[in-house]
Amino acid sequence: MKKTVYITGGSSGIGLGLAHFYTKKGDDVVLIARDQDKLDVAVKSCESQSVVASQVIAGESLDVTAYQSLPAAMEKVVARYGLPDLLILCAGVAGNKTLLDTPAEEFDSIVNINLGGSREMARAVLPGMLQRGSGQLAFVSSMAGLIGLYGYGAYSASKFAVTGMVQALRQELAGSGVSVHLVCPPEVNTPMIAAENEVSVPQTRFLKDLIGTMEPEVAAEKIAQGIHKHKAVIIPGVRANVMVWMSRCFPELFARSSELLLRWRFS
Amino acid sequence: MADRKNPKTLFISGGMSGIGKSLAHEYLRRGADIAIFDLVVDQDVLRELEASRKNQSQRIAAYQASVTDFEQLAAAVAQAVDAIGAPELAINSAGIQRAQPFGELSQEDFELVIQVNVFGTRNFSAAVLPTMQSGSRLALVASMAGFAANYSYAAYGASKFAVVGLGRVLRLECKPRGIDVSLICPPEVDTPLVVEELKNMHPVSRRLKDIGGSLSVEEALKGIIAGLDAGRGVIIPGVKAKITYLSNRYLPDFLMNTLVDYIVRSELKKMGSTAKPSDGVAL
Repeated sequence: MKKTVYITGGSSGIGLGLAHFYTKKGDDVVLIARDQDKLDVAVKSCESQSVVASQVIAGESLDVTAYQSLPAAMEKVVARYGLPDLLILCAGVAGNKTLLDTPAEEFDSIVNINLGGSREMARAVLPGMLQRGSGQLAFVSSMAGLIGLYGYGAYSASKFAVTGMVQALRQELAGSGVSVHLVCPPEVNTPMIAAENEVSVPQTRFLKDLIGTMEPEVAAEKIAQGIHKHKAVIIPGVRANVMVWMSRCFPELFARSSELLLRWRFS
Repeated sequence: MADRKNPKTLFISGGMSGIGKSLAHEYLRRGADIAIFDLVVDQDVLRELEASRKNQSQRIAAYQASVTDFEQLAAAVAQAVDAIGAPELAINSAGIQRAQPFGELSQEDFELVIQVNVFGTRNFSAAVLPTMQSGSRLALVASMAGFAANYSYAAYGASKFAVVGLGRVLRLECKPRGIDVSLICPPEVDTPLVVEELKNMHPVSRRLKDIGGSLSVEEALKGIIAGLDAGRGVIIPGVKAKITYLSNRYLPDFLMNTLVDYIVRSELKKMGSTAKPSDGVAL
């Protein structure tokens, strides 16, 4: 059955990968992002892959941190394309600096976009989904939302926060018909990461290379599979799963090993 | 190298009440000079603290500063360093709670919780770390809610998970400088923050929090101090809290979620037919 899928941050990276995936499946896809030009390019690239004539492929320019205007703006989007069956919250920013090198404003802005933006978007569609008694919310967090990496103070704070918020929300929605998914990908080869790599902290690069990098299409497919199976936590990739499992079961050992590896490599 | 059990200097935010105050008392009894950063400097509390000193020469410096204002806090920290020296132990204990189901919690309340708990932790860490020497320790008061989610704790849980994430990162970043980082994760403790929360607590939260247990300030202090003395990375006071922490770590998500969802549903059922599961998120 054809679904309506909304994707924030849908004009690039994992969001765009997911947009291509659902387009090829024949679903209606609405991309939400800030930059109109990038959106136009993304919508075109999806249209070229559409498989059904009646398929809706659209782009809406919205800023997820414009909290005041967001509810009204989303109301219009919903009126135009219908309530989504699946909302994927992919809009996010990274920042790779040690905490002492991160200005307070930059820290705040990373948390506001990654946490606040997801929260407000989810709040905009939840009442409708609850009334209907069905729907799926997928929050794209990060592996950095489950484990601590050198140089990711602000980013980890924002993504751990998403993890905590989503887990509370999952409890609150139990039995309502609306399900919540937490997506924690490892590094994916996206524009966000390309920009970050130009200025990345060597210690972060070193640790992340141990986990490996994924292509957006591969990540998107694994994420979509997880959403389809209604998994509460979706971690694409074997190496990422192993890392998360180790840090969860042996947190002290994991932290000490990271410390030793960093000392061995950088002193 | 600082003596872990008897730091010469303690810097503590939120030291005028709750867990922060009890930690201030403890380190005064052990002979430390302390600097407190809080929203209000309460003279009665200061007199109380003076009485805990091991000897009369110990200095207590108190600064009216909000952890949400980095400039103000950094200025107060600089003054404190001049007054009593750099901290050998720095504890961020300032925190706030606003518990409401996801959809009911206003944008303002959500932001307030994030500002105080997350940005406050960042600001405190960024203010004290540059002054600290090798051998000293930074301790961040997170919460059990930083590991285990709870109904109606979307904001608080988000903020405390964030503190845990930040603490994990800081641990790696501070290690090369010889500074250790501890995360303190208490369950419910009988503090002004919780007294305020109890006035209006959701029955489902209550039921789930009982699993993690409830401690008096003294009990919590005992566990926290034992952890700090041992130099632990993660400090969890209370037996029930330790069990909750371990089950979250070792039980499969599926089992944990099924268990919690069952409790949530049975509590909601007890609340009566007027409440549907979705009431929790009604806007």
